[in-house]
Amino acid sequence: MPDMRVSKGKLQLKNPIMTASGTYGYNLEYEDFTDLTSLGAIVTKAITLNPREGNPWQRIIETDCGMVNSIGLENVGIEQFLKEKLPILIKRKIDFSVNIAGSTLDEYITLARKCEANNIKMIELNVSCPNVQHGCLEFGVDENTLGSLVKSVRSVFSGCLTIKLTPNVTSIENLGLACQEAGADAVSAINTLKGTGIKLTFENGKFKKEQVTGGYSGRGIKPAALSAVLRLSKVLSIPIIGIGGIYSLNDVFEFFAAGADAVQIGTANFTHPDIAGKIVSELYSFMGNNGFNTLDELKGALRNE
Amino acid sequence: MVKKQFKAKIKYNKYTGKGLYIMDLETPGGIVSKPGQFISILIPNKTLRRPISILENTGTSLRLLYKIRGEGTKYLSMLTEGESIDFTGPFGNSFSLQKRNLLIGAGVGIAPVYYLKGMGINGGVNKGETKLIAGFKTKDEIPEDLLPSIDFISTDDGSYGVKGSIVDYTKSCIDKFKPDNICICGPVIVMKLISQIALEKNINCQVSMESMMGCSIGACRGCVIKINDNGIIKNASVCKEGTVFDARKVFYGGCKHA
Repeated sequence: MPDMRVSKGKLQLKNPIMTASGTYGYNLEYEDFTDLTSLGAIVTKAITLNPREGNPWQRIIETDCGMVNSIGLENVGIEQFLKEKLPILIKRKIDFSVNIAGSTLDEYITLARKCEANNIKMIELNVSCPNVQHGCLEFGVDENTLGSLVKSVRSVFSGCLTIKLTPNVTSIENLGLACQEAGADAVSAINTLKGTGIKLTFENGKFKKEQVTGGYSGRGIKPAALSAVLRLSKVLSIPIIGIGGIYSLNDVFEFFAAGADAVQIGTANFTHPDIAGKIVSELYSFMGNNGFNTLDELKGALRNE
Repeated sequence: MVKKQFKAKIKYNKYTGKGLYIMDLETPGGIVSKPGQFISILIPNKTLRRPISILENTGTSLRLLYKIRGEGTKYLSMLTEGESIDFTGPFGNSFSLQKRNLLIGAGVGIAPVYYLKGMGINGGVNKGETKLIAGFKTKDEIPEDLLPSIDFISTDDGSYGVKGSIVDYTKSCIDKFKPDNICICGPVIVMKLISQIALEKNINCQVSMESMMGCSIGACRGCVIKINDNGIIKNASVCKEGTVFDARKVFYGGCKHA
């Protein structure tokens, strides 16, 4: 029986297949498509201190090889999350990580404290949302700011602290290092790339234009994500959770080869709502059929090839 | 876990005029659906599934009416008998009927109200009366298969039925039929104008909205529109909280082509 567990410091997962924040709702949204308890973890939609309405219509547009979104962190806020969403995750025995986003340092600290107080085992700091006016991304682009943020959150949260990094920077390595030095348990990379989707149609002598500017995700970002994971893996000793354009088990292998310890599936959930659970079973079968007893053996084979 | 993902064989996929197609999908096991609901069809090499409104559910087949709007629907239009598609759904809520129901479909928007009319007749859901009126730009656009269920038709150019806009035609239908409930699907501007008329006359009115969709299940919040819930403007996902909304609540400032 292959052992798919990920066990790197505080990052403890029953298997390396997670789902990415913003694509998987809060808890049971995908239950008609996949066995949620089979997943390494689902990462909740970003939770802020107060509920947020998010951005106005139009929020999404399909592009070549992906999509651009500008949701703007619409969410129910931490209190409602703790009261209504969290108990269901616990009751249904779904492994999860709570993605939190603040507009100030104090907000991140308050959110992390509340997670700690509610015995939440894993959080992901969102310092990379490109779609809000204040906070969030501002924390994710400067290593000193990010270092202080992680340090402050670390001091109030004892579980697995993951930082989700933005690719929209000159050196993602320096930001990863700042997280590691400040006591993060893992980094996840990448969040969306800055992008604009424009769709034009010419009808009755006039152009009609749809345009959304925000975060670009999907198949098209995989090379950028692999590059980020590869660069991070050269400098970091903490585990890396790879995200970006994963649509198949082979994509997961590519992320392992680049140095990821686990992965998150994002936009692919929209295309194939059953994909996360499917990849878990495919990974299990692959390991079993090909004599890989542990994930480290598989990763070793992928990296030393 | 309720099964919500299917592979279905195409029984037929036919052109019904002016870029409109009817696709019949074999669903031998039967699928539970309601008027106003849609399915989301996987398009090869595309990121987002295409939400398509259900026209009819015979118990062993699902019939869809769609219009070519872009690459996704263009792909659908080229599929032929015997080929299969992968779809998820049905998703969304449904209309509610009262004693005297005026159902209005404009263009491809006829689909959910046509389905609703059929339920009224066959499903025994509705004990009241339903009248279905349809508006098209021109005669060539009217799907012939649907004609037997349509009670009144208007065309913008007068090539079939009453000449003029569906909005004007609706006014006279309201005066004649005196409905206590109106259900509409069509372009936002048509729904906006007709719901204004309905509300002025104090008639209950429901609209079936559309939006660009990401997940189809309420998770991504990509398709949300603004609704006015007792004075509070808030978000509602078209895919899950819709597609059908009380016309009094829809805030047309926050949706497509408003």
